[in-house]
Amino acid sequence: MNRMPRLSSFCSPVAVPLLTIACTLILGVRTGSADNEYRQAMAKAVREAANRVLPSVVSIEIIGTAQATAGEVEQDAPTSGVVIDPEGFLLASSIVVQRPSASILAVLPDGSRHAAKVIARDYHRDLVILKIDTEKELKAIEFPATLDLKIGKTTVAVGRYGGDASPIVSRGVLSGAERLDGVALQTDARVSPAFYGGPLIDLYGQVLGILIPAVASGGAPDPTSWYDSGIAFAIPSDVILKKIGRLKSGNDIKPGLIGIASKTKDPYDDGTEISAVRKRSPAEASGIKAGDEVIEVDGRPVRRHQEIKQALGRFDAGDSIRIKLRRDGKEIEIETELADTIPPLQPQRLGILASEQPGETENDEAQVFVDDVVPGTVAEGKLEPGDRILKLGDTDVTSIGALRSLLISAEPDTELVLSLTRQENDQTIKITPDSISGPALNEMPKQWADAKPGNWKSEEIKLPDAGNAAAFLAPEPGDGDQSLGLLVLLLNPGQDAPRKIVDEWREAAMAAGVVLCAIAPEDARRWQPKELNAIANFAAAVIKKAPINPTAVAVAAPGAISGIDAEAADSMALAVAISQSSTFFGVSVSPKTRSPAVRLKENDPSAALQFLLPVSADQELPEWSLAIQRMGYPIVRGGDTTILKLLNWVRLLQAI
Amino acid sequence: MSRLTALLLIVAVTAGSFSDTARAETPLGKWARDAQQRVVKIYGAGGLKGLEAYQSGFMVSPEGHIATAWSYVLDVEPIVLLDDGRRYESKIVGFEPALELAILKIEVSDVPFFEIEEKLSVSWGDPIIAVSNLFNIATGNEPASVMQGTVASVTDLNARRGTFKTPYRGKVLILDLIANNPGAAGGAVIDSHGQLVAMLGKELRDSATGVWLNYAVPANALRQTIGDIIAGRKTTIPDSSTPELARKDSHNPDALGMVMIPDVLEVTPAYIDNVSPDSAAARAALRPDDLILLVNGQRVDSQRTLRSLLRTVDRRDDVELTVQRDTQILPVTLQP
Repeated sequence: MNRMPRLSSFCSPVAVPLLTIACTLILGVRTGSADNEYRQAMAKAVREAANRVLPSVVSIEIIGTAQATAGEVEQDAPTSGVVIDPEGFLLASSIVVQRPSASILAVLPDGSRHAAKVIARDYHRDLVILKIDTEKELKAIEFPATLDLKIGKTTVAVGRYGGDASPIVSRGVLSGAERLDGVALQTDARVSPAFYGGPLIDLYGQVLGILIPAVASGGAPDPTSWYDSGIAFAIPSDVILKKIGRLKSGNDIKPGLIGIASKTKDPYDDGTEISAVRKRSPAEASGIKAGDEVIEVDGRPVRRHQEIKQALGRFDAGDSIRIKLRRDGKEIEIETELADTIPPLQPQRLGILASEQPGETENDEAQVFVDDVVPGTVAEGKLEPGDRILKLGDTDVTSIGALRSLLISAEPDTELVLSLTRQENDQTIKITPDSISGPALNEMPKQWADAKPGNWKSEEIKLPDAGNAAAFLAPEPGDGDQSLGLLVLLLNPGQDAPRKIVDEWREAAMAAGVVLCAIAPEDARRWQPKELNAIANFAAAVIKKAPINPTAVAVAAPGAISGIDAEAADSMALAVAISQSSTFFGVSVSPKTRSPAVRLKENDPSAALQFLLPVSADQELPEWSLAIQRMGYPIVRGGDTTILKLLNWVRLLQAI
Repeated sequence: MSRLTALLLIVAVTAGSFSDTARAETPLGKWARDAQQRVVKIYGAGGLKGLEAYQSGFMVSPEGHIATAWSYVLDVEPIVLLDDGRRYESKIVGFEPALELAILKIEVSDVPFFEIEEKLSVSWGDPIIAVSNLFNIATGNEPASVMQGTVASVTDLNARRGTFKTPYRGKVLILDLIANNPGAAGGAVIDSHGQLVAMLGKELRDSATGVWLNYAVPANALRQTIGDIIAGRKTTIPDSSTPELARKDSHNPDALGMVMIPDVLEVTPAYIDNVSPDSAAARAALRPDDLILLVNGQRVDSQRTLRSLLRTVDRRDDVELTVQRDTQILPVTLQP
């Protein structure tokens, strides 16, 4: 290196071109060793940095767990952990407590094994605190309180691996910060399962964070699916430092919930108006009201609901945060303490079909009108077609979505006051909504019952990136009703051609006004997780081909009809509905369906999902229905469910 | 600014930018090319059930000895393609099941080859390059594929259970590099000085974590065996100079108490179906499903070879077997 200045002084602009070229050649020759020096220096720097933390890095072994796994990674895969205190407290990835096991062992750097007990779990960051009892001297890892998180800086994932718990490293760069809703750092180091629970450090040996198995929302069914992919996540050290005391004293940490629903159906749309506030939620307790616009969350300005979610994502249950709102043109600030649970939704319904019309001038809000009343609901006799709904309680009703959210999050058996305009007279009516859970509605509203179906035809449909055979049945363009329903019917592996099935269902589909799309699995033997997304794409493609109300879209399997057994399509339909919840508002399967391996999210008032099962009484409901109800999903009992009854339910999903 | 100065400046700027590029270039280029010239493509058995019929290997002597991974590809005498496209039929001159190593020989002289050092020159964190014919991307005279990465760990391979198994029990290099793909087995891993450090292993899942491993067997662990095989001290080629004895004077599987699986294929593997009670096989605790690999150090590629090898051994003499049981490689002595 020290020869460089002399060489470059030769290459000054006054030298003849020939000399310059000679200099370049010399440089070219000697760069090889410079690069080698760089590589060796990097290897040395990586080892030195890793050696600073390795005395605190342990291997964690799981003994005696036999449950099957959703992903490739074994349930008892050995992973890593770090010593956080000389008393024997360890921090590891919560993958070690994912399943019950007979024992968790920590393998110290000297190879000795120690039984560990679980002290507390951070459900929000997928970490767990363990404790071992040992006379051995333990070296605690240091978590810096401030981090230099320059994107692109060199990172090293450190763990222990193999029968002798040897050091293992993978080098990369810092790819991002505040990932997974503000919770994690991202690195492109190749993180295989052995690294989970180990530290992610920089070249100075500073601990940037602790590696966890995770995938981005909707990325893959199993959090370990992205191992070795160059996309890996770590919980930042400064956050760990703040939480560690609470965990060490045995208190679990859970993500903080607030309880607001978004007015925009798509969280990426502009606007932060709140359409509904959950009952008995922190939002309600702190006085947040439907119609409020969020301006700031804990000092961060927000413009969309996605940004609110991102800003709230870092907070735990029990954290107090300040939220700035705009209400009636005035800014107000409230403080709220986030909760770990909010009582589940018990979605309610009036029983109307509504439509939305733009305001008279550009600045006016949209207007919501009653189009029809569903027979047998509480709206019958109280609301009439043509009524304009002004307010529900104190909240102005300015969109169908907002009205729906308000009812989905309404309290059961509690009277509501509706302000409306009927034939140019303003009036208020009192109405107690009905729970969506319970027996299915039997009768269709008058305007649908009177409509003539027009001419429907079936057609095969292909999507460029899906190998599934599929067919749909829909009215010819411009023919028949608006506000049709759409049922995506998943066929069982080995079942008949989709075209034949939609033709068999033709009569009922036309009578109910429900467009039908039947999809066969790509592989004739099974449904695969990668098809979840393809099914939602089929639904989106069919919605463009007919006047379908996007809230009357459901997915079902043949087992939804009484007397047909549960098969693979039933589990798949459940998985589709849960994982593609922004597309599907209803799902119907056999009560004997085996519950699929997908993570159940809470029902979202702005894209609420309901379940129809062909049972007559609650006692016939499957075990998994309890978990479904706890997450705020209504379960509709179809009784003796025929094809027509199923399809009528699909179309009525749009009723509010 | 005079025209001359401007011209000179332009030259200087151009030269400057080239030298920057040159500075960024790695010296791996030279080592990579050297290594490619020593790496060969090996074509053999396979093609069924998605098994690839190819793998990689590298020269370990100027006379055409090639080290490669011992695998089903070598169930037939393989074809070897050199870096320059020359094509040879090869002979399997030796193999060591416990190292998953096989040595092939082709009839050439003065080919470039890797020397193998006694000590492992890399530790975790060090840069390496891997040269192999993964996915059979290179054909004919196309040089093998070069990938760069680092050594993630030097550790014990824990691959004893599960579908993919290996009898290898020593230290392995875990690579921070997606190196172990179809066809890569037998490829060369070299350090940043061009020195051979390891041989890429077969595709393998770590039985403990369940995920795919990127690993290589350190060259120094193979050194002794490779040397012995090249020097002829340890060969598994049937020695054709040993005469077959009369049927009644020699051994045969049945007399030793080994009931073999039905010999229905052209090359039926020498699996034991059953062990007769009170036989030499029973005394040596052989078991059904044991696969006989070697008889007195000579390779058994089929039941036919097993029978003819046993024909060369006097029925009063002991027989040394090497068998594979599950993933273990066991020496067994049959005493008549």
